[in-house]
Amino acid sequence: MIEIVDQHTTVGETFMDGSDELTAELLADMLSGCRHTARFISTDARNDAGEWPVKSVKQLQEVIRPLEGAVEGWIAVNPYFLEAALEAIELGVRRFGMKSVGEMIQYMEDWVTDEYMVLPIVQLAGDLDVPINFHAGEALHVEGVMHLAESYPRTRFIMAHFGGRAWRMAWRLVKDAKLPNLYVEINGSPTPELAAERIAAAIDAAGVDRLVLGTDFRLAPGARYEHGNRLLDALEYVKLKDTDIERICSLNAREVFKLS
Amino acid sequence: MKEEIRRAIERLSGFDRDHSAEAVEAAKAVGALGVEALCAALDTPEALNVPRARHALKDEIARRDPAVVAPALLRALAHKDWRPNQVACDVINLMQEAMTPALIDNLETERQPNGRINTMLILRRMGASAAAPSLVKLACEDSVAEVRATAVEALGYLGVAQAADAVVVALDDTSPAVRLKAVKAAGWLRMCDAAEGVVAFARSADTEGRAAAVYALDRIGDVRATPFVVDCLEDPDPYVRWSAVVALRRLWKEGCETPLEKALEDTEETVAAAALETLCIAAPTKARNRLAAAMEDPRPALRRTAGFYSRTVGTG
Repeated sequence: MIEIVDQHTTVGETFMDGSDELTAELLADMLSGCRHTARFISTDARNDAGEWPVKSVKQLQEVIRPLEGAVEGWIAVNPYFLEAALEAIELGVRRFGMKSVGEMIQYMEDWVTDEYMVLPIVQLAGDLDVPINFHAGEALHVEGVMHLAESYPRTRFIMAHFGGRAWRMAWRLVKDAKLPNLYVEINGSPTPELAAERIAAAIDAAGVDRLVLGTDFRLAPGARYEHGNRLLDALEYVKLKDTDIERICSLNAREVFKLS
Repeated sequence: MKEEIRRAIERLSGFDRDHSAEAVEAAKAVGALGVEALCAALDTPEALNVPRARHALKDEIARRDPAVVAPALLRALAHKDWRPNQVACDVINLMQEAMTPALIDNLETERQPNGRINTMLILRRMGASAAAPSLVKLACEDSVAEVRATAVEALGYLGVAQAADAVVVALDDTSPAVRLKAVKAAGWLRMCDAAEGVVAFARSADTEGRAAAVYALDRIGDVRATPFVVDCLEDPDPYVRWSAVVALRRLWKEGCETPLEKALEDTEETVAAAALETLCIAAPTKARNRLAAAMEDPRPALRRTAGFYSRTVGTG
């Protein structure tokens, strides 16, 4: 059975505040009906977690530690709280072995993707050798991610949502730049036909080796993970080779996040 | 408006987001009354209050003949309220190429500036390079500065060759907002012809403008701009200095070592670390002599950068 690595998921509030327990059984329940196995890279779902990132990272570690690698940590930070953000990244990566920084959500927190206060976070992600995921849902976000990826060649970037509504612009710019440190996030929603057009564009822009799956799936009691099946449907619709499908589903993520 | 259409729209307008399911049913009921009803709903912001109902209306409209619904969609793009704008954009996004000719025509005929702007934004999102001639005309001739600025930006994003002359003209526009967009477009289009104009703009620009200009010169990659970029290493703003340090990776030429080594002592750790990285990339031999000291620097970003490059370029 093929493995899916979804590198853009969140751990729901009730797990984070301890009112529910995220167990292997609950995780298996979320994955029932899947025609694949799955590993998640997951961050604190609470919107304000970036305002107290150290506490968030510690709580996240407590939630995911018992799952023994089925859910890996992803560090939520907000550049307005820079000192705490840098401390949380150091703690998360060095002490807890967390795999990534982000999602950097400029549109919710009201900052500009490539503004000055963001740079130390980008620098630290590169220094600690973990990727950083930036929300990219419109043209300005795409432009900002491109600027950062050009400017920080040692930092690995993931452009979330492949630009969202600005995906055609992302397609052109990513293809033009051919940056070895830039990865593009895709998913299989909402239908294979609609997803297929974007996936084909992402492959043309970045190459099969630079695509990773990200869905915004929230691990929550009663949630069902349907994104993996949808991705497989879309990849089959595009008629990719099995080796390319495996690369997009998990091998690329294993490499970029240095998963064991 | 027919009475039954008026009543259906009035019913749809009465729901809020706490009654999404009922609003969706009401939207479908509007759809069942035909194109005239859908177009009337699109003209009524209050009928578009509930997100799920907006999606339902979008799906209903997108199933119709583009030629029939195009006038209502274009009217909605010019609407002062964001709700008709959004639904129209979402429908056009689904219809794609079928709407492109009407949108391009609309650039010429739409009287409302926000209608022209929204039309450009959707054409830009669609990647419609066929719109380039009309965008060039708007960039050079439109009487409204915001329209000219949007046109120039769209040309930069679309990456079309026809944009070059318009960008050069826009660099001399009377509006600072248009000139700033022209600078950014020149960067995205990597226009060597524009480098001189970009430098001229930067000399009298604010912080945002100077940083944007340096980044544009970085992308253009014409070393004739290098002396100006070196001057920016002394800029009072750290973002401009950081932009200049990064730009020198592409704009490097003999004589850059000394000012860049001075940037290693920048009071801003972010700027100094970027300067060390630039030195390692552009002048690795020179960098070797600096890495050992940088590995003992009290600033963590410098130590880590030095640690990385000591493995690739070695230490002196």
